[in-house]
Amino acid sequence: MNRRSLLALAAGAAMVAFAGTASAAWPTRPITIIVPWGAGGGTDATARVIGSLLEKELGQPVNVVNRTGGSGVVGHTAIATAAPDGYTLGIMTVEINMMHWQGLTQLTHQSYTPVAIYNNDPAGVQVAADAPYKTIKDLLEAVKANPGKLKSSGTGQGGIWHLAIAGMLKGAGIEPNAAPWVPSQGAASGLQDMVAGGVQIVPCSIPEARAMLDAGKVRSLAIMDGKRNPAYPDVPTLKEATGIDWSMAAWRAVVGPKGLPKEVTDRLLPALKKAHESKEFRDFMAKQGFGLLWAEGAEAEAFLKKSNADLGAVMKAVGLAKSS
Amino acid sequence: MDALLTAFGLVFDPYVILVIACSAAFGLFVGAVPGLTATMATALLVPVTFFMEPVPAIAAIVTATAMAIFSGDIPGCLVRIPGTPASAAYTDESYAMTRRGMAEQALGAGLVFSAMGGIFGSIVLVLAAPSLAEMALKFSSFEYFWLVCLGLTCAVFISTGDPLKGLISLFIGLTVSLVGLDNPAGHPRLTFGSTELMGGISFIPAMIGMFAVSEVIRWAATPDAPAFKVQASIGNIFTGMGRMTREYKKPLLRGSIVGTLIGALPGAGADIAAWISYAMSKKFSKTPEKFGTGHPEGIVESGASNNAAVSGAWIPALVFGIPGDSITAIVIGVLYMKGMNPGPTVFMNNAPQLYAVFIVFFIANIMMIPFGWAAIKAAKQILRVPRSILMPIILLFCIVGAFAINNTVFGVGLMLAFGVLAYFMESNGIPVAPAILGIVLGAMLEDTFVSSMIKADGDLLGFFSRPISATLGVVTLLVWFAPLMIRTMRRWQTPAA
Amino acid sequence: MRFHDAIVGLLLLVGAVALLLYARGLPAMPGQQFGPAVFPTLVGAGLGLTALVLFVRGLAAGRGQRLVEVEPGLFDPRGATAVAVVLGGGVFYLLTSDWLGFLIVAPIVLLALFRSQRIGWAAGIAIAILATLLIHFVFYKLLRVPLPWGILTPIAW
Repeated sequence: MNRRSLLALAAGAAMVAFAGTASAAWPTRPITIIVPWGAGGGTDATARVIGSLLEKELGQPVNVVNRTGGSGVVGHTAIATAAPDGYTLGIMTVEINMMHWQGLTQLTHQSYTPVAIYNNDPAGVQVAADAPYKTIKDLLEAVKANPGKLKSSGTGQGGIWHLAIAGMLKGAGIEPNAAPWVPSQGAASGLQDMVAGGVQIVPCSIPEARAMLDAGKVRSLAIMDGKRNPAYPDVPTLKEATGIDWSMAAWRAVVGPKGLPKEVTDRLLPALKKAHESKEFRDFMAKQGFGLLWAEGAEAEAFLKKSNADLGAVMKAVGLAKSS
Repeated sequence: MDALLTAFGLVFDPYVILVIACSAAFGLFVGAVPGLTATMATALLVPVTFFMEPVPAIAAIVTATAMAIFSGDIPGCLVRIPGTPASAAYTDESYAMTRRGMAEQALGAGLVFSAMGGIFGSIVLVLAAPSLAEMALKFSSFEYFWLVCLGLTCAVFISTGDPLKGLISLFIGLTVSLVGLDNPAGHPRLTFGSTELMGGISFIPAMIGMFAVSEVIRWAATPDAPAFKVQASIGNIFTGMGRMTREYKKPLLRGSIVGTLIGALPGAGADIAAWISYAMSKKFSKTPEKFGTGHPEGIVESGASNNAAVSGAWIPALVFGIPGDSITAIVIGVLYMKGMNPGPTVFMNNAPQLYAVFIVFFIANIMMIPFGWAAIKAAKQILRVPRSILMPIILLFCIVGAFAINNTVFGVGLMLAFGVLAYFMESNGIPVAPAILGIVLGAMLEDTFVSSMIKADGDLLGFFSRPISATLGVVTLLVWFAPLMIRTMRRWQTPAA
Repeated sequence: MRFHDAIVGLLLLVGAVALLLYARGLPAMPGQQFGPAVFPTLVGAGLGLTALVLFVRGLAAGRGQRLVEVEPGLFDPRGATAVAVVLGGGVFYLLTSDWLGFLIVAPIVLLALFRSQRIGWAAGIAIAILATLLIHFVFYKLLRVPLPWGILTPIAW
């Protein structure tokens, strides 16, 4: 067999492959969900639960695989560049609207077919339980009085919680870098460092701080959201406590590569919605303290667009965005 | 007392016992496959535990991880592919024993002392979890910085032969850890525009390449090498374990204590515990010159240590919901899901379930002996396969393992590159173990150093400003400079020489 | 392949200098005192220093040593072929597995390795196919690793 006939054979086989996936009712074989973050994180946990529920709905195995590294760039790239045949889906997280402003990738949320946004966790402002600040106002005054003295942590440099506190300080009329950011591997190590006395503020989400809140090791002074968290009704919103109109949240969405066929979304969306409304999923999210959200179609598009614009504005204001 | 009785009832239920047995087999299997870690075993179990009661769900994870950490020793010992990173510290030692025809003793020691370390860690978990967790919470980046420095010091102790070349190997590993976006500044380094490299160099493909692929290359380059000796006697692998326990009771105890403590520290897990214990074992041994030639002492200490660390990691996880390692990070999610919310209150609110989990820790570590024995017996047979058939299949295993960690062929490329690099390093007397240590600890060293410097506003004295940190700092500096000072003093005392 | 210590030291020294130069080119971070260059500079300095010691020591101690020593196995056609097949097989897998799929590439790589070890065609083909199917079953079915199907996608199971 010469090279040309080998190529022809391969092309033929590839066409059969394409025709096969397009004609038969999706899904006819196992589906892969790519998670851009490591096993053990919130994104991984929610993805695995969604995977096992979708498996029941769709009648095909759903494999959740982690493609980690590069602060999410690697995994998000893998989702965007996969074949849009419905057999590779992924979880997109808020970072997609941040990375391109930093010049780390060309990808934006428009490089994907959003299926639905399923979760939204607003930032809180946590301090150690033995800290002298009783209210968010006390804390802001302390930062204002001694710029640079109080340090904050909870994710990497330029990460979502870094932007959360920078935006809050900016809203309060304080220099956004007045509580210098100490990069950490995640909220858990940031909280640990705060309890050990290394840093003073951790502006992470409530579910991330939950165990430490319940153990009485940290205190939440405010949440950066329009409404209070039902699990912690005593924690005021930032607007209630200070009048600063600033909210920031991390969200997660099920997406496919751009150009996901309609046959796939027509089957996937109801299955996902059913999973989202199932008792198992609700119990899981409530017990972990994750915030629920459901946005599909045009609503999801609008949400993503607004998130992108908001994040871009803060990143420019605090000097984290690349010029352009 | 009632709670304890209820707990026994919860565990000794046919369904729970069946779950434990199945997860034991699963854990042994996953641990022995290169590229799949104990963390992966846990993540694969999550969807299954989703539909279980709390006690069997947690029991499945506890059993599978304990087994996986032990069974990572098996391929490391037999064919020089550590199944999990926690086995990498003593892979060369146990492989040297295999080449001397002592595979069974190496694996037997790994098995028995893994179980003992695991049981020790479980006892500490039961008796002292709350107070140890309080201690672990006092560690900030300053303390971790010194701890990482101590860990890196091991590179010099564990390298057989030339300490200078050990140090060079360490710096090669640290250089590799620079690659990627995951540094404190979040700036892409040494990525040359590649998205894959932004993710950094995954440690597992590098490890598989450096140990296994370099070995395959060496095998290919020496066509007339003699086959391995396989012991003729299919004797009892436990022979000599009583003697070893008596002879090495100090290393065993030290490994168990160090493993539990390191496991209890958030952010440091079984892999680091194994390295530190192996180095300590050599440092304090009466016969350090035997290390690296197929000597079980280091395997005893670090084998006990990594399994103790698996139990120790549960201490901060249960008490404060802070993961002690990547396995317990997943466990915390499962605990919440099952209504056993971590926190000091778990000891009151969920006492029966918690005691049941403790009992499972003991069962898992005891069951490790018969299950592990069967696994060793089965795995040992691969040494009988002719090397001309075995080695190609090992290469395929490595390829699939390197692929599996991130599901990308990029891992396969990394594995090959590191295989060639390690081949050249070893041919030139540069040991690979310190380089692997450098890759493991490099990111943590940079993270702790940079965040400490930011917190201290650039003042180096910040590293000595807190009591625990100052103590660790002084110990580290002593370890570094004491040999030098002693040598200088000796020179002064004998000026004539 | 064993090189003279002075050569190894020199090569590493060049690498260290390159790393230091690269670190100098890294930008500062806005609002951050310690940028991405701090740690690479420290590592580069450490590597450079140890490499320099090795170079000097190699010059002083190893005068009689040969500059390069090659294992006899690599001059033996069997050894040289085997090494080439190991590395070539890995690269072949790397380049073609996504396109051709695991079930096609793996037996080819195995068979090539078996042949380089003088194993007969029949036995080689049989073992290659059996081993591939076994590994595929274990990783794909039991451990849910998404091994690529490539052009075999239509018959994926």
